[in-house]
Amino acid sequence: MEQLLFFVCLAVTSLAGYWLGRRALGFGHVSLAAVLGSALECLGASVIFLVANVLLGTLAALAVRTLTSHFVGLYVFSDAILLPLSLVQGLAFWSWRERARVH
Amino acid sequence: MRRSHRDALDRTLVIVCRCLGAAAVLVCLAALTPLPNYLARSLQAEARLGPADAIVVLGSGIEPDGALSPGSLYRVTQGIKLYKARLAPLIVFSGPAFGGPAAEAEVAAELARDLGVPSEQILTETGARTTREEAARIARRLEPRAVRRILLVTDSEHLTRAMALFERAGLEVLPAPADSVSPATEGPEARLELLRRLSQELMARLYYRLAGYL
Repeated sequence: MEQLLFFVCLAVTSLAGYWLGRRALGFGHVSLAAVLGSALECLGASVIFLVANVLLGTLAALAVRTLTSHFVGLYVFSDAILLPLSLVQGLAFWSWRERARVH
Repeated sequence: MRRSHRDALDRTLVIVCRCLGAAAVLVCLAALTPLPNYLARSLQAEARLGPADAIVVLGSGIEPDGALSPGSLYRVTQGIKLYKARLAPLIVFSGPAFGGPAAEAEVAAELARDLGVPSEQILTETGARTTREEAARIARRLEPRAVRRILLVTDSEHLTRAMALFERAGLEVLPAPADSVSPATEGPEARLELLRRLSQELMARLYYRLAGYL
């Protein structure tokens, strides 16, 4: 029941977003597949940033451990904060790509 | 770079991003199903409690104000419960200070004393910072006491790797899981946390294998 509520909420806010774009803001008609594809691309770019952040962080921690007497725990780079930060990186990168292609 | 090369690179990037994006959506949807629970059960060690020579409670972190982290508190509580059940006469707490006011092992030992465990039945290991160091140092500390069999207390997903290291150090290990996130948890947020912990442990296992520690 609780999980059904998730989907109901997602459906209602999606429809509200559609109404806002179509009626209130006057967005033109675009195919749903293209819009979803673009959203997946943004998300995928964020995943690439996330993996790169984790790998680079792990290598940096191992390098600090090896080269200095300072200990850096590897668990630092599995912190949940990396998810939203990588999402911002991915969104910014993909927006840049989209704008650069228009110009 | 030539324009045709750039276009090819861009097309590849779009395909890779779409696939990864779809995978991320599937992971989020999986959190609405029991799939993370099945994955957790397949990767975790089952509890096998029995009489042992010592209970070894691995470190899980300490807060900057000197309080045990939630994960550490679960482990320490489980260790004390096993001691109170008379499964072993000795309890070992592990965990350094990591720059804080007190070592995790000392804070855990104080809690155990407050809950009625005699001081002479407690050992603390405050120098080990990784699971590998914990196994090596604790095995060395237990050797003069003729400890052969231990009850190892840590998170279920961590147990498989930790057990292998302690067995390599010459000890017989009985797994005694203590989970701050239950493998049977329900709710999308808890299941996502379970997935994050499983991914973290899988990466740690990969690193330990590549480094030759396992």
